[in-house]
Amino acid sequence: MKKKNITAVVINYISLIFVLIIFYVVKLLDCSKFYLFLEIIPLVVMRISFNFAYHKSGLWKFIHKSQKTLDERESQILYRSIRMSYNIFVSLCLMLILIFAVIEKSPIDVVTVIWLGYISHTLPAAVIVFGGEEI
Amino acid sequence: MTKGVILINLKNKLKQFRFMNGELTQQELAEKVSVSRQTIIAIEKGKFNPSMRLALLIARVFKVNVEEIFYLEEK
Repeated sequence: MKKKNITAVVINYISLIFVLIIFYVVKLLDCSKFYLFLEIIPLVVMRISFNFAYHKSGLWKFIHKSQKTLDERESQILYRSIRMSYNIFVSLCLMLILIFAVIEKSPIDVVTVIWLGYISHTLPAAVIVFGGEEI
Repeated sequence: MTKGVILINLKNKLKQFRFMNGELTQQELAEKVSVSRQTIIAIEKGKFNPSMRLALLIARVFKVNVEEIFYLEEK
């Protein structure tokens, strides 16, 4: 996989982190909701990098393809990426549950669900990008 | 490395066979055996070992025995 795809995936996840930092800082520090407009910048970066990392590369389509339409090499790539993604995703979820168990004010909300869902959908493609395999 | 283990790689002459058969393109071969072009590229580069089924299908396209295209090479 091309180096620019790896860069796009890294930028995509960094912008996601910025979106979350802004959201939780505003929420936990009870700042004015006006600051949420700052989300627009990382959201735009996230959308653009998503286009390069997953849409243009065909990876989004690839990881959401039906198993029946994949050939044997593609099935192997998808199997390996999903297996690795599962490990990362489970680790992330367990870490979150641990953090929520420690702090009193549990910040589980709809945003948590959305970003976990986003990660779960993009991780298999990201793993393929980092694995350097062509699809 | 474990003592006594012989490393054997699966090699192939797929590229030569494509050119010997009317310069068949990777895309055309891929379509004939119902895989993606990237899979043919990966096989030619030795990055992917095809299943017995796929190897036989490729051999059938070129009307030869599978061993004429795919062979083992000791490292």
